[in-house]
Amino acid sequence: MNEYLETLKGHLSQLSGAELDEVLDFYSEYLQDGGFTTYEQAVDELGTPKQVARKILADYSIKEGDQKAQTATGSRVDKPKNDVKTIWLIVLAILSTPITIPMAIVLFAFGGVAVAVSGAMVVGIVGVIFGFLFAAVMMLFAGVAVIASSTWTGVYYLGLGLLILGIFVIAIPVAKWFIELIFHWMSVFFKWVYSKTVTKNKAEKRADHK
Amino acid sequence: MAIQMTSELLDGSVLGILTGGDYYGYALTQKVQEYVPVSESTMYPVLRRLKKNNYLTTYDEPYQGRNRRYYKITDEGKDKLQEIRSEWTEFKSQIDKLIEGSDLSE
Repeated sequence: MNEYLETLKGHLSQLSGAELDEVLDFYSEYLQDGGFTTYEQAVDELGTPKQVARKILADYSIKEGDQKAQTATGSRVDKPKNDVKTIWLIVLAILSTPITIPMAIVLFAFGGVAVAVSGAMVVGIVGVIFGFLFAAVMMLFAGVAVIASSTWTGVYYLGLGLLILGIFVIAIPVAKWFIELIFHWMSVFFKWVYSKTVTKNKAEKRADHK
Repeated sequence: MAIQMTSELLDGSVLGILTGGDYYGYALTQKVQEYVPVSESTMYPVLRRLKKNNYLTTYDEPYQGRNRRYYKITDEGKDKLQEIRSEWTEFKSQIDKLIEGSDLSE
């Protein structure tokens, strides 16, 4: 339990001596009266020292913000800094629930990978298509250029060019279908991710309020 | 719990409990939780705020070799509680009307 309180103290370094003592007294008493003797029991009951500290600091920041607003004139300059601090602390308080930060990191990672991979695939397909077109055009040119000097070679190249052109024409709708499929997979993936996130948050809230 | 406790209601709840007697931190938290699901780490900021506004005072009493801090409602606290009571009654009746929905004749 002392370990828990010491850790909590560490996270509350921004508080003045008197404020800090009051907070620690309250939580120390709470844990003692409630019979929470081990670190694990304290975490089960209150959350991690970090979470508790963030909640405490967020509350302080809001209160401080209110007071500064009341003392008007002189604190004009102070307000924006205070607001930023408030927002940041609140965001941290919200984020420091057990699931959200790791979850967010995982989501960003997956999202990034998914986008990169699909992007690469689309680029690849487009590249192949253009490759076909290019080859076909080259062949046709070559055929026309040579046909005067050597008929059959010319015919050969023309034939090859037309063949590739044919493949190209067929490939376009196929590629289009495939690219649409990729986008569909992407949206399904993101929907799954969204459902996982929202569900997890609701469960958290239920657990939080016991 | 879909409906959240606002800080006004938390203040009111704590002050209401304290009219029945003085409580120490843990017991007070337990009492509130008998009625509504509130997280323990919500309680400290509430108590600190109430103390800062002088709606309650604290005193220490020795217990098993350490000190126990008790919370006691002040006169200002009692006034504030009255305020919250009437605000809540008003609010509650309005919400009830809306939720019932049946007789919202214009």
